[in-house]
Amino acid sequence: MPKKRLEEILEFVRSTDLQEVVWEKKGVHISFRRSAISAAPAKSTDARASQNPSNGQPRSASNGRPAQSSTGKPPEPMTIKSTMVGTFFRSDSPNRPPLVVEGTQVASGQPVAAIEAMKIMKDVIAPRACRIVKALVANGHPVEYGQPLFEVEPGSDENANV
Amino acid sequence: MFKKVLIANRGEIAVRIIRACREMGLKTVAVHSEPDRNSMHVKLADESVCIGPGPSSESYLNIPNIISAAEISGADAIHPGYGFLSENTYFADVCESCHIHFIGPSKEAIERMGDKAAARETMRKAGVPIVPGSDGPISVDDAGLPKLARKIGYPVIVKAVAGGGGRGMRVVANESELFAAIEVAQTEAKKAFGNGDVYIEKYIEKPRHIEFQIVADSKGRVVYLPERECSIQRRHQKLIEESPSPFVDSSLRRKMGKAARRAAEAVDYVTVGTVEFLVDVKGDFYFLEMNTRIQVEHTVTEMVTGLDLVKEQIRLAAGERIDYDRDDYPARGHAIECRINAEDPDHDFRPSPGTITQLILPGPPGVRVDTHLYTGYTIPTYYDSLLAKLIVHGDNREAAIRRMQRALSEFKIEGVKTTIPLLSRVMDHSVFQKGEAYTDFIGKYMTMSTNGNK
Repeated sequence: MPKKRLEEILEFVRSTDLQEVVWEKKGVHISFRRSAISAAPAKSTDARASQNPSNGQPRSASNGRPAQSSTGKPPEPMTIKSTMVGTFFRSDSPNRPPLVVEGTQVASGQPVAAIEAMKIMKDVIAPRACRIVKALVANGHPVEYGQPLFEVEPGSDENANV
Repeated sequence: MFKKVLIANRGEIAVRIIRACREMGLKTVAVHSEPDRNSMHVKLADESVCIGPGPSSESYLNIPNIISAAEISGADAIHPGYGFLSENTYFADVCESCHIHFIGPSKEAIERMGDKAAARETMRKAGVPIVPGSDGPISVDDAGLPKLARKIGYPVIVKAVAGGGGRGMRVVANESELFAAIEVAQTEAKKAFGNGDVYIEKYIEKPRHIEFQIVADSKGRVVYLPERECSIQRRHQKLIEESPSPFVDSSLRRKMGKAARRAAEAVDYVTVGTVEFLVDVKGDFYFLEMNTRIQVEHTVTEMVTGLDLVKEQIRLAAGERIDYDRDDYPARGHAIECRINAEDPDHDFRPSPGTITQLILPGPPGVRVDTHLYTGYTIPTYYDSLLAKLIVHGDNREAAIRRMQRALSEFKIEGVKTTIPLLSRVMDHSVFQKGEAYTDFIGKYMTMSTNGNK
């Protein structure tokens, strides 16, 4: 679909007080849902919609994306943050495998990485039981105080892989 | 010369240092606490590293994180600014062992000047006049104490050995108050500095606070610059500084300057530093202390000498030489600095944090503003209240005062209460204008509301 056409549709949607609009044509399915909170989601919605290739893939608000952008930023994912400044390492020794990988269940207090500062290695400790979703910093990169190191999901101590 | 300088400070002085580095072609690394993420020094530096949460003890005083920040950013020198770690011997030592240049004097010089009692002894040996007082710390259990106080002569002042900034200080008018004052000062000193040792010395009435900026290279050349008068203080915190002093004539300047030079030489001082003196009405002067760092009020000396003292400090720390050598470095005209703090002078100077909703800076000619403020900036509650330094230069003292009055009237900081109204009142006061203000000026003439007269 040409971008101009999409902009026209958006312009129309904006001019109405409709809460939801579904557009369907030749296999292209686009739905817009207005957020109850934000009245002007146009810009971010615009950008996302124009990136959507007209390849016939259905795209609806139910997958959450347009709706999400219309409420502003998505909720911040839960992370483990650095408590010091230094160089980030995935393991506590150069020849060892990473302490955690994607999907690892960790218990509260379990070391998940190490940070080297002034020739001293310090463990990065999981502040609570969780599951590692992904590492946000590459091995050997510098990190600052408060920098997110891992994206995590809440987990329970019982199924932790200790 | 250094390649990349980490600035272990915040606020206006961090901005000042970054500017000097940039003009010298040096890369800069800002360190900052979490609430300072949007601070001006972070915006101006080439790189920045967050070193901790708001409280200074976990960020700007966090030595491991600051050293790590230098390591990960590849900084080869650290400028400590003033306050924070600037006179911390341990920090200077850690820098040295991590092969990072500390932009300041040697750790030995900091140590010898940091302990007030040891500094007095060093000065006495170097022939620098000191205020009569006890040799080292005193205790209320000492039977000879009342006799010593009588020998020094009342009033005496009790001071913290590790002190500064007026904390742990008590003036004692007569013997009946002596023991209570010592105990209060000890408690206060213990709380503020972790060291409860106090000493006593003669309290000088109608004192002026006059200090000499010295500049020293590693080959032992020490130059003193025209004096600064910093008598306008509130609770031992300077509010207004000027250069030259309205009190000092050329012969006193030479005498005091040479004493300042001896003080610096006694500890093999390198880079920039300040020797502070108390001066009485007769022109007798006594060593107070030496500040082994750049000072807030270095600006007035820059205005009358044309030197850039922060650049000098960096140059000299890198081992370069002083290329001027003269006893009477000429002062051109007169400079005054006003410290503008986020404090409410109508309510006992209580701190006034908040967001700057509008900022209008005074303009030339002869006006300089050193500040980290910008419109929309929120002043964190964790740090000192200095918002800006307003500095003016004029052909003579009278012209400088008129210029300061004009500049203060232009300066608008909306969103927080500031000391601007108080500073204007000082400029308008006849005692200040005549150059007859002593260190008790604020307490004596400025205690009433800024809305009142005189």
